[in-house]
Amino acid sequence: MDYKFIEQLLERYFAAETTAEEENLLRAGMAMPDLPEHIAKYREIFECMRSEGEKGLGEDFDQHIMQVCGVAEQPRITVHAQRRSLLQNLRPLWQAAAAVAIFALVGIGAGRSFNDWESNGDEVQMATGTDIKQMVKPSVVDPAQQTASADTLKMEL
Amino acid sequence: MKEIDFRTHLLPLKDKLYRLALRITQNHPEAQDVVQETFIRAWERRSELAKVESVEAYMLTVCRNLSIDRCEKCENRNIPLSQTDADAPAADASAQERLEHDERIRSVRKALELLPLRQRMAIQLRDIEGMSYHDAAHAMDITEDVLRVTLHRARTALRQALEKEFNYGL
Repeated sequence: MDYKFIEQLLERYFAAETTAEEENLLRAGMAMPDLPEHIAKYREIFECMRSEGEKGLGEDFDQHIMQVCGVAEQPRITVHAQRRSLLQNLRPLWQAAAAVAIFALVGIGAGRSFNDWESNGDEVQMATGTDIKQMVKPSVVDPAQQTASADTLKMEL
Repeated sequence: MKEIDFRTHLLPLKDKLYRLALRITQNHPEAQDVVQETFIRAWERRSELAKVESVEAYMLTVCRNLSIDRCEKCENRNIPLSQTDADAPAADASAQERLEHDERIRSVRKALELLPLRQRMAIQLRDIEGMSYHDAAHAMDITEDVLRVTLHRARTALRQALEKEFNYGL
């Protein structure tokens, strides 16, 4: 690998001529294993900078400083994560699919029984000469005819 | 005008402020006190703070000034840092290599502590906090050109310290 680029960046870094992007490239380059010795000997500068940047104050300080500044601490909301299996996650989908299937089956069943009933009626008509649908159908009686038959009944009495 | 919220705008800056204060005072309890004082001052002046362009730059400036004040008050009481363990080298490194690596890290840290105040601040803001030349210069109240010169001197000093250690080790 050509380390000339890293070497050039390093020289520009020491001269404070590098941009932020170049410094990021240099940091990445210096973290590579098997660097030539004349470059690798400066690795500790970057490691030291990185470790210095990780120093900080703990959560105790947060509580203390908020108390000192009179900032009320908000109640901490804890959310417990619940582990769910894939089947549990897909349950609503299964339920919806089952509901659709039930409706479809009921619809198909109803349609088939209606068709059966119609075809059975035709068979009876063919055998007896009677239209079974007409027999089942409520007969509509003409009111004038009904009155006439009532008068006939009265005369007979 | 934006409203300053302690948790949202100020508290996330605590580590950055602490590291700057630590770099200047070179003393953990002093640095912690400086950060506390910075927060108190900022919170007391939150109505003014709402008008500033960058809350971070304002806080860093307050922190820097307070740290320098503390330094001047207790000039000779600085306890060297270097309490943290050196970074662990690769797992397959031999004990001898690890020892040398730790020694070189200690040398860099020691050289950093021995730098003049302005150079330490320049390294802290630019190399450790990753701030731009513009922001770092603004926080240090110097021009970008002066910052570059300061940074060049600081980095060269670190380089020389490491080269000295390396040559001595050989």
